[in-house]
Amino acid sequence: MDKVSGKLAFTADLKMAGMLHGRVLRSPHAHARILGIDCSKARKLTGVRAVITGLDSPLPHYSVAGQPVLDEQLLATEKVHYIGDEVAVVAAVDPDTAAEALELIRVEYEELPAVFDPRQAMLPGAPLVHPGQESNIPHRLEFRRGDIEKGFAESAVIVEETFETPLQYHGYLEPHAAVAGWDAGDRLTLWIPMQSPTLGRMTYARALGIGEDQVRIIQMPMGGAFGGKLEYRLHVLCALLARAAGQPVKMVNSREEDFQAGLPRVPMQMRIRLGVRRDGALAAKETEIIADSGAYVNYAHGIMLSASHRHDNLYRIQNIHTRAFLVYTNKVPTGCFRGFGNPQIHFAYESILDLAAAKLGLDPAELRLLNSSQPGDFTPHGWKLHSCGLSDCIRQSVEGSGWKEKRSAPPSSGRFARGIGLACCLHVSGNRTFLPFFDGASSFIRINGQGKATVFVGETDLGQGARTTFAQIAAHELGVDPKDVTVSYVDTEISPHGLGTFGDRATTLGGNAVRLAAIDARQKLFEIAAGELGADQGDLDVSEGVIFSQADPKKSITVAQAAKLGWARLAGGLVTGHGVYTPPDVSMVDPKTKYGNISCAYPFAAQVAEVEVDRLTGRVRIINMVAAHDLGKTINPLLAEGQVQGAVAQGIGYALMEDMGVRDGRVINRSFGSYNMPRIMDMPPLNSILVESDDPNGPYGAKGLAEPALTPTAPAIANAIYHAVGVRIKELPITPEKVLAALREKDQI
Amino acid sequence: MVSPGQTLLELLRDELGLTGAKKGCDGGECGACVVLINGQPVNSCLVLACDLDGDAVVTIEGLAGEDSRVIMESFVEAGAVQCGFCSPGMVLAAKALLDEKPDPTPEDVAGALVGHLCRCTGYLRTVEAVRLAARSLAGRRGRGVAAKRGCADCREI
Amino acid sequence: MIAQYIRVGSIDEGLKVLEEHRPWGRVLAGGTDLLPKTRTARHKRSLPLVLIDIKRIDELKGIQMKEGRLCIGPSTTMSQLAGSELVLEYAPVLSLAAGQVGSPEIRNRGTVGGNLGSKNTGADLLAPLAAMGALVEVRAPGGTSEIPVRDLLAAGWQGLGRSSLITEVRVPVNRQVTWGYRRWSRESMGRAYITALAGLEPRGDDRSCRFTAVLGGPGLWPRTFECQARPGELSGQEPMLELCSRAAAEIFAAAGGAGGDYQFQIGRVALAEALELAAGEVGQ
Repeated sequence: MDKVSGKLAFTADLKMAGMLHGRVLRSPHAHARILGIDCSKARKLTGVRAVITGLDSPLPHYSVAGQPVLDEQLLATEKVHYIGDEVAVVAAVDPDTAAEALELIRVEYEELPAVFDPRQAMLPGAPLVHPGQESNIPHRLEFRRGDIEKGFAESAVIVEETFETPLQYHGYLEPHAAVAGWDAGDRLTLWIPMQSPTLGRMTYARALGIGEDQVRIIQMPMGGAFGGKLEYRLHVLCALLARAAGQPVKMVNSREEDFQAGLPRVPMQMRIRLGVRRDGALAAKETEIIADSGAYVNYAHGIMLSASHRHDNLYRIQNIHTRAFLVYTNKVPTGCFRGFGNPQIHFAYESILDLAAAKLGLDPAELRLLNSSQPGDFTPHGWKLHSCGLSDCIRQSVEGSGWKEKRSAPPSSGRFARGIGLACCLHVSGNRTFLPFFDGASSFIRINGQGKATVFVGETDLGQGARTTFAQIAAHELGVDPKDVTVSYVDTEISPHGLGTFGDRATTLGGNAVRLAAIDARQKLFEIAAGELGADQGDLDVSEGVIFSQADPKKSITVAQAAKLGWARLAGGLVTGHGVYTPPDVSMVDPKTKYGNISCAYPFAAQVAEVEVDRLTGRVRIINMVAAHDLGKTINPLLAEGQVQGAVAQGIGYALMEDMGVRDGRVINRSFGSYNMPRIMDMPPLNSILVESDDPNGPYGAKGLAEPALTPTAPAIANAIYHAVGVRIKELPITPEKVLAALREKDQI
Repeated sequence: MVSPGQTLLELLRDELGLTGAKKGCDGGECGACVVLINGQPVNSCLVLACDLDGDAVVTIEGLAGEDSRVIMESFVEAGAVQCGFCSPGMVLAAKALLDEKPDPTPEDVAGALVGHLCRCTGYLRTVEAVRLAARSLAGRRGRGVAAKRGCADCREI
Repeated sequence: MIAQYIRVGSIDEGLKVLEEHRPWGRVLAGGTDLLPKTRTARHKRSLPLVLIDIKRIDELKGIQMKEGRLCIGPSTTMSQLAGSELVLEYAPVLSLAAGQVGSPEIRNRGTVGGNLGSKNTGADLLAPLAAMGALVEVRAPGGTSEIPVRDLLAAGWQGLGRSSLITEVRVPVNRQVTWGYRRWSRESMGRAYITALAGLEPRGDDRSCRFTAVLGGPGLWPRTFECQARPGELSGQEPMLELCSRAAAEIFAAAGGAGGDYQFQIGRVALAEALELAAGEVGQ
């Protein structure tokens, strides 16, 4: 109710005594040398309290998430690398003064040749985005499994295509914001909407050249994140200003800035060559990926890795050869976005599967079922699929969508043509691939003398309801009403230093830790109760807030009473349970071969899209969506379906509508008016099916859901369009112009 | 003394401490800043603070009556609230719609909320929420509970 | 940036203040078009705009019938235009066009005058007003003139809201013509990419119709094409599309090949859809 009544305070709503307003001066050039910066006029402006540039004092090079190439600096020193790159920051008594100060800063640039196409950037002799490096390729990988030549030799059908996916903007309604303040003793506090306060603390300490223990991050409610609110420079720039001014500073991106200098989805060019045997078994797959990192690596190396190997575990395929290149360009740096490389590669993979199916004369659902991974599979990448509901997802989405009749319906020759298409995907529930520290989660739960519990966990709520889920899990184990459980927002001073929420990890890892903590707390309560009731601890149970002896139910005390006794016995300490969850049998990938079981549970999904294509305008209308998701176990159906609905909406945008439109390194569509995100009338009816495959590792069997829910949507739509009008669009977004052009080309042949 | 370029949105947030209206785009495209002026939903980012003159402005904080509470609860119950950033604007627009059309069709709801972007929910539950609110409000009126329409239910600033 | 906000109480005062603050004066009506423009990077301190609020001028408000013409005050909001009984009676296509602009929030503030003065050739009301042969009364320091909307581009359009004021929009009422209207946008809540009107005026006993086609859009000032349409040309979807393709081709050719292939394609299709609507009403 706090949210809907406007009472919940987001970062931009915060006010503090003496708070200043900060703004960023951004580079207007894609690639330029900085010859000089003159801030004298800005500094003299009344109301300006701080002006900082990269030339004022040495700023260390850093990276995020322990990525080995230290290519970032808080403010540009020698060069700017993209239009939007941070050059200077000012803090002033009000936003207007800060804006005016920006205009008074004179920067002298020498423009340099820039590179925008990753293919161009890879060529020897291309302008170097980061001259300290040998090339514009900070990361590359290659791995082989099985015998690819043999696989192709055995193939009855070989298809090869190249697909392209663009930048996608997160479109969270809350633009990036930060509030920073320092205490007298040189300790920083950041109030930020941040998916991982722990990772932020590490990265920001490094970026500022201070100790991690000097950084406190208080997680603020998030107005949407979707991967876009992990480490972000604005947070640290705000800290710099607050330190220089000696007062707290608030910084909020304008929407235009957020478009220009956010961290949109990594664009990829993907060539896949797929060989399939006569009996429909996938025989060989050769893949080449060129991933566009933009000006900095950020998380793109992990995203590229994810795109390189995860999808290989979706179907049974033994012979694989993959190469991938992460390439710098002088464009906006790209980063994490729901799906983390999977939406990109699945668009390519699921599209080419349909091409193969068509050539073989096989029904696309049939082809997938023939090859589906199964529970118990141990894949060529070393993944252990303890649970796998993929086949069920395919069957149920096919059944629920009228697939058979619609696939065999005669093609229409009129203006409007209907088609139906299927696509599948998988994901991880947390993953161990590139963050070296650990994977898992920790939680502690305190119970006060009124029997109310507070849960502390390191996994954040992005608005998706993690706090509700954690409260449910804790309440279930403690035997109390979820309304009596509060989940604290993450504060690095108090909360466990968990990795946070990304990689679809919150429910499985955070949830497991909360469950264990609640069980531990329950045990402690039972210990107290056993003493009081003169009963055997093993004999006790709890329900609806009452602890009772199963042998003699009249022997009972309330949870509150037990907790109060505990409080007295601990001289004021509250009964506290601890839980640590480390996913079993999970490992880092081998740095060379990328082999390793990276997650303790893998969710699967299948989506069927039904479309209507207007042959005269190329416009594609989605008539119906059926989404079947194997989430292991449904803890909260309302929240789960909410994730599916929201993700499908983003998938529809990715597939058909969203285009940032970059020309000469400049983001052209920098407002919601021109960057077309789905609105209320764009959503089709959506039938959401939750498949429960009961994973042995998930809490109560639960796996991740929120990320995979986006991945199959675009390829399902592309496949449906192909079924409807026989054109295969290989580049997202599938705009009406592209469809019309493809239809015309087809008619001419 | 307001600066000429200051918007109603900025006045509400920065000076009156009414932060329920959000600055999502500052261009009239996202709906997070919507308030009611004389009962009509408008983007407060496109209204200059100087431009007001005896107008009745109602923000989310001003939706205090029973009817408004029913609408808000419907949003929560229907699962239409995730991050909540767009919710105040949606609720105000829903209130204005229901005041004019107590029994809106899904098309009516979509038409009323086209100016409201939501990136979390996918909107399906938002439509359900408004229709649920319509049914709940009708139920209250049917039982003869005094249900005032329009701004009698609101606190004006 | 907005350097000043001045509220004026009369047309003369408005013109005077506009003149005083040349070249920075801008008429502020609903602000839905003007205010976002003041926030882009170009409009920083270097452009100290003076906004002149004309919303309280009584003569610019209201909708009335005068001498067979529908007279619309430029301060009329899109919502008011869409919901006006008079408009629904005498020029329903205007109501339809106004009702599809933006969102309810935008329509509750955006005005007729603001739409006409927006410097966007694809502004929603331009094509319907041009189609109906509407005129605008424009007052400038030099005097008052009545300009057909069709001719506005060459005659004073750029000066609207900067050196002159729209004081009235006059729409001749012609009950003989039935209009069909289609608006096509690339975005779900976006500016019009094509606005298309198809007017049918039954003629004589041979069941032919005078067909008027108007297309407008960004980069495409509304242009008209007229011809006699034989019953055969209106007898079904295919002949109508055929007819509209011809009409659209002529319009685009007259516009110097503006807009490109895709805009033309949408133009002919939207026109055909508009024609279907009109034909349906006429009962062909």
